Amino acid sequence: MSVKEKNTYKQGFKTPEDYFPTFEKRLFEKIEQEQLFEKNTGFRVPDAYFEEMEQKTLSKIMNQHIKKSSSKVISLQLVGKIAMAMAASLAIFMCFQWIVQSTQTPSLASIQISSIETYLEDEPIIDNYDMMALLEESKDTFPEELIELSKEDIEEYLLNSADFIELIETESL
Amino acid sequence: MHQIEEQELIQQLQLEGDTSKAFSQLVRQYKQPLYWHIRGIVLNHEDADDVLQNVFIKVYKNISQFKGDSKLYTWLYRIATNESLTFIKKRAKRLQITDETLQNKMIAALESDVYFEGNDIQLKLQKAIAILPEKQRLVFNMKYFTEHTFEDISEILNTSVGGLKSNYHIAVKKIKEYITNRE
Repeated sequence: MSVKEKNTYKQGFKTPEDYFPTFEKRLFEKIEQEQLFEKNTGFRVPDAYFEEMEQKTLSKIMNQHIKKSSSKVISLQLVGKIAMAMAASLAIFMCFQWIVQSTQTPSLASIQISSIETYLEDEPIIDNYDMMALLEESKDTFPEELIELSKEDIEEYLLNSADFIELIETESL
Repeated sequence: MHQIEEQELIQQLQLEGDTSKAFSQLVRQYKQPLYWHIRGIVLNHEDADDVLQNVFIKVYKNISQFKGDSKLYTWLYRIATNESLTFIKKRAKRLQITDETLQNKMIAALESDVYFEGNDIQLKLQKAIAILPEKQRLVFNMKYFTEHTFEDISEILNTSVGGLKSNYHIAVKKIKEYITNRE
């Protein structure tokens, strides 16, 4: 019993007459049609296109990468320019402020900036002598309660806060 | 087909150049067994013809990728099985119905199919097979109608022999129940 007969007998299925003898012919026609369809799209590519495509693609990627990198430099330059413009604006504003202030207090205008710098560098920070002299000079302007200190208050201050070494040195002068 | 003949055929199919002669031999050799295997899944002759042609076209295009890890025979059956199942699933999706509903429609259509000449028992058997889950249906068709060995079916469906035997026995039991309950 052939495969066909066996299946017809068992399953009840049958095929059209001459289905199997003509199957190959129809199959090859279909394959040929598919191949022709694939071949005859009408599109062509230049010679060695696919061979060169990899290199071209890589070059394109590299170029894009370089362009991206250079665009970053431009953006940084732009930031620099903005910063410079801001600094210049600030300088102009400060100059303007200084001119306005100098017109309001003419005595400062006569003092050179270099003189102020020299003073700050050379002159020591105010010490105890200066402080005592200052207090002596401005005694009249101080409030009574600050000048009229009790003995206990002075002793307490001296015990807690005063620098004894400096005091002894001062006394010894 | 003997092992040596099969290897020779594969070598000829994988040669560069004209392979039409070897391919003709392959088609001649397998068109009937593959057709009946496909027909058992899709039921309708026109659909089986479509699927069979697609199977051979797929084989023609992919024969160079066949590594010989399995037998040519099991490779072909695996392609035929997958193509048939994909065909059914695509149709069910297109009709927006489940695979089971489509299966019932296919069985109903069988009654008026000019290429079905089965008697009442055979029609009842097809109806009983249609209620089986996909795996049981495949195993039953391959074992009962085409008399594959469990080892071959195992290779085709990529399932263990034990699992297949179990599937087959469950399928037989269900079919018996279906037929006796409707007598």
